[in-house]
Amino acid sequence: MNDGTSLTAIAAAIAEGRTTSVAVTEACLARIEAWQPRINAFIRLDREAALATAHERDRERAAGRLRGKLHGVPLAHKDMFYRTGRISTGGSAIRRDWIADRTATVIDRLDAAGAVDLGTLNMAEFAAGPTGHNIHVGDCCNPWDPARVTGGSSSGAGASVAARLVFGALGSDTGGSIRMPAAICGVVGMKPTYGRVSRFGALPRSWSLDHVGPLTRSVADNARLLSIIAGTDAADSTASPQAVPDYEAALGQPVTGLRLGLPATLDGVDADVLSVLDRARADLERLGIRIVDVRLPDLAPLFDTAETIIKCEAASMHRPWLEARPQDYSNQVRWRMEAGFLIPATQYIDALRLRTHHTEAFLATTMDGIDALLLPTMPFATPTRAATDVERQPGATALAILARFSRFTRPFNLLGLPALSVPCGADSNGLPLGLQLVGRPFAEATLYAIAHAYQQVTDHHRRAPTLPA
Amino acid sequence: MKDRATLIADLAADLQGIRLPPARAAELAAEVDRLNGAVRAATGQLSFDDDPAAYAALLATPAPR
Repeated sequence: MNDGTSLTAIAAAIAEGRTTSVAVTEACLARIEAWQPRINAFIRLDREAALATAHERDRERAAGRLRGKLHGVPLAHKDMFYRTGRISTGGSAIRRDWIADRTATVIDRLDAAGAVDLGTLNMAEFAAGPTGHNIHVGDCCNPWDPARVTGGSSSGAGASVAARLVFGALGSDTGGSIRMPAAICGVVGMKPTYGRVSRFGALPRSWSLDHVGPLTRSVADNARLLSIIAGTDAADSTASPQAVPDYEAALGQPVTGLRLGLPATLDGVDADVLSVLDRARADLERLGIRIVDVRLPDLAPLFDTAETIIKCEAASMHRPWLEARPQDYSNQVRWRMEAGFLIPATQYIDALRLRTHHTEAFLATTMDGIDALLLPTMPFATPTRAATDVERQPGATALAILARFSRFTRPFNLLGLPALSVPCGADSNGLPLGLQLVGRPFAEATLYAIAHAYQQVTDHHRRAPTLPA
Repeated sequence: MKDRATLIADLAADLQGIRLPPARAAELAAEVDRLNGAVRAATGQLSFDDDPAAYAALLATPAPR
């Protein structure tokens, strides 16, 4: 039941009485039990609570009541979305037993739509790490090859959606933490426009650059989840009051004649990735989309400006724990924050002020005259966990690989532009690769339309890993 | 004049109460130098009236078609 069935299809099947929430939830739980020893995607499985919710949803349906578009559909989320009374670890030792005193707005909205919450998913400690390593709860492993990384920091979200353990998951993205695991695990991941989705009740990594978004099996599934979680929120002053479009309705909008910018040259990108991107370009052109040469600015200043903001904000929020319990952090997480204590406040404020200029310039140059930008999500084939384990084997080689992970993702956290990662092929090891579509502010519907059209003529998103016999 | 690593170690100790081994201070000196340099190189674009909150207004501006 679970293999190859999309979130939207299973929601329809439950709503129409062709299956039950209990049957679907039990199927998910069985798959989780089978896969968990291999990939460690879950931090906590709430079996009894999930089944109780599923029974309740089935009783409600029998009584003629459907809560919403996720009625009875099992999901699970990165262990950083608070639910009152439940432990939310943030993938850390420091919050191993911390019980949330509020419920995240996005969790409230999914509950209201009828979702069943299966538990909490693995993640990088405090959402700080691009690979999926975690010394506190164990590494999350790639379901295509457990020796390789999942990408992070939403590692469990990427792995669990790819392995068809859940129908969708929420992640967070401060430098690529939704899009990287989506690309590496072979699923769809949306980092919406900054402010499109409330951050209230989500563990912060960097207030100015954090974005909450969904990871799913298909673009249509993703559009449904974003429709539900997006929108203004009195509890988060940065949540935009802009009306939320009907993203699912937008999936069918014509893409013929849309202009997609693609940089003429992409330096530092592996041949595997370029070759797959070339094939994606051809598929998109067959849909009638016009590919236009664009000039990509030097991304390094954007990357460094974002780094300045992240380090300063992280240092500020973690200071009490860094002073009282430094030994409870992994070295790499502590190291990533330390510079934030030494950057002058004026530099941090200037970085925030520059954000407007960088975004204006990007929209006026690279994005001028195009509907979206096409880039790889990751510049290289998926590395092994061993080769990128900076905690256990610190060294220049591993650090050099890590530095390249978010090259094409982090700049769009600074700019705040929506960016969608979609499966587009495989590397020479057979692991998934993703393409990234970047749009203008609040143009998520355009990205979904292009990506949905692409998924109608390709089957990369239908590939799923299998458990060895 | 102090070298950068010593300066960073002293700043960390005096201003933040953080004790850094010399090797780590040298790494951080290079990192802080790179990040400060990147921001300072771009600050020529900034004017007196540039407000960080202008960013949200920019995002909310309808896209030209």
